[in-house]
Amino acid sequence: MHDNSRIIVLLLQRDEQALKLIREQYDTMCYQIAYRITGNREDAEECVSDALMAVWNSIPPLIPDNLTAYLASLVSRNAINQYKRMHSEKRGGAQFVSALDELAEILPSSECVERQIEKRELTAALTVWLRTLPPDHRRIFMQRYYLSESIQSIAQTNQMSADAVKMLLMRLRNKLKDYLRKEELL
Amino acid sequence: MTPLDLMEALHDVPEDLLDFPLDTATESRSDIQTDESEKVQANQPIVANQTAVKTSEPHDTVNSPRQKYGSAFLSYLLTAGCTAACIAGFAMLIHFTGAQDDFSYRSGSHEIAVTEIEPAATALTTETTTVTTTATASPEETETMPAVQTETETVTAAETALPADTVPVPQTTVIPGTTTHTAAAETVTQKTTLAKTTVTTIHTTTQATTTTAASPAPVYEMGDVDMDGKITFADALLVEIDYQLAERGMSAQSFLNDEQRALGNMNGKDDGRYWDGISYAPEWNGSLNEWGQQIKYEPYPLSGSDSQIIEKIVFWRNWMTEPVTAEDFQDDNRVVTYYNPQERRRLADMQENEPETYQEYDAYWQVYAKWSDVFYFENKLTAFLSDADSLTEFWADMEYLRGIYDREVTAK
Repeated sequence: MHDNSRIIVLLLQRDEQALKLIREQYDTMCYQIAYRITGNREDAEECVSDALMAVWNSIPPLIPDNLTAYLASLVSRNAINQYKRMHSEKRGGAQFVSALDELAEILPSSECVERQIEKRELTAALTVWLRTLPPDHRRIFMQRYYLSESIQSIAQTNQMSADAVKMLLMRLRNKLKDYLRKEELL
Repeated sequence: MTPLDLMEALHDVPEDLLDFPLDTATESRSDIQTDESEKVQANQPIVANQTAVKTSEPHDTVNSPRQKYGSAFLSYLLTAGCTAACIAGFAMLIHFTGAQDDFSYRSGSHEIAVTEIEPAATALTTETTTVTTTATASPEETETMPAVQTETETVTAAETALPADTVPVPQTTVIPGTTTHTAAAETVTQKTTLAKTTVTTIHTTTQATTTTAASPAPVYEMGDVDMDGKITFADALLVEIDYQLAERGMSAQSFLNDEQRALGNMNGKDDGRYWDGISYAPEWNGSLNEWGQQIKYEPYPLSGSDSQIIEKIVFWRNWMTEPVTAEDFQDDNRVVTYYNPQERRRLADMQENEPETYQEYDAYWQVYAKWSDVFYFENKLTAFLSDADSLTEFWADMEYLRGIYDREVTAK
């Protein structure tokens, strides 16, 4: 059984035992999420470690309602950033990107305010759209695009055929496209 | 905007939307499947842990009739399909010949193409026929069956018959119930009527049910409508057909008994309206769907083209994944004329005002699904009755299906 509240209490007490418990309970989940995005064991491990560090640094003051979801979110964000870095390496070379990262530390966020606002709007729109979906459709959508689960895995957990999952996802993507257009985000 | 932007934004949505299953298993990392082509037994039947009828015998001791009789399954499918067509045809023909003036599901404005069908209907003849059905137990079943049943049934009602050469007669009506039921002597005139076939089939089904009650009662799982110990596509088909005929307002008698209906009552409603939990997956394997509780049917080993035949027979519709859209309605202009102006306005309102909440979406979805169902069936039925070749094609399809089943299933 998960004992998230115990972990939270330990974190609030700054007891490192909390990290050990998180490792015990969530290591596989976090690693899976990270690996699906990065496709690399070392990178995935790094993402998980960074997420644990973020948990340690953010709690307190933050007290998440759902520690599992919070962890998943942290890991996947780290993994996405790692993915971006990996693709930057392909274009510009690791050293160049590294140099840029070092310079970025002394500059304001590389993302302009307008872009930040756009991202917030996009998140808000996605939130509204997701709430209009039937729960089972939302679950499948999130399994694919949040957790990056394979079609087969989604089919298995939802007791559907892979073809049905593919079709459903295709329709949901089209719906999302229509919705984003309507919201003038595309 | 890039896909990555979208994905990033997705990761910022509120936590309450993260209601998907997160695997927090404590397996070691070396156990994690890193290959996306992870092996999933996609074709393995998945059965819900629901039990409808509690009896003393464990489920795994049930002797599946399919195991015993192989292609009996298809015979049942054949019978069920025929029953659907025949009962529907019978009901419609009675309606169109004036024997029954009102169908509850037809509003006053449902002036569907009666004139299109009428010539086909009036071309049919009326006759009185006697059907004699004798059912005997097979030798291996005589110990459990209480009695040999012999019945003679006279169909005296005015029945509308089709020309003899257009209606091949089903040779065997073996129902894959839990006991053997062999029609030892089934005399049916070549000029079989639709109604007669209907009565015979219902009668046989009833008998199968009777003998089932006499044998040691097994446990059946929810969804196992034909009570053969397995949840298969045939179960979905049976419920679907029964739904179309008995519940949709075709004024036909349900050919499922109470126990079978209870097994099909996937949504657990008290009023026994089991059918509204039924849907089909958009491919060959059917599904019972009860808002998140899905039972995947045993896969039916058909290729894509073959699945079209099943689709044709079971009035396939795509309920599970998507509400019917406006495009679907536009595909067939006849559909629009089927519905009264009030309902059409309601549809138009729905199309204009997209649902904002889940509740609205749910209502929207259900209305579309319902309409979709009705017009699918009506269109099929209209075509079926107005086109003399349809019957021949139907039987050809069934025979083709039997061939596929024998080749793919029985042979293995």
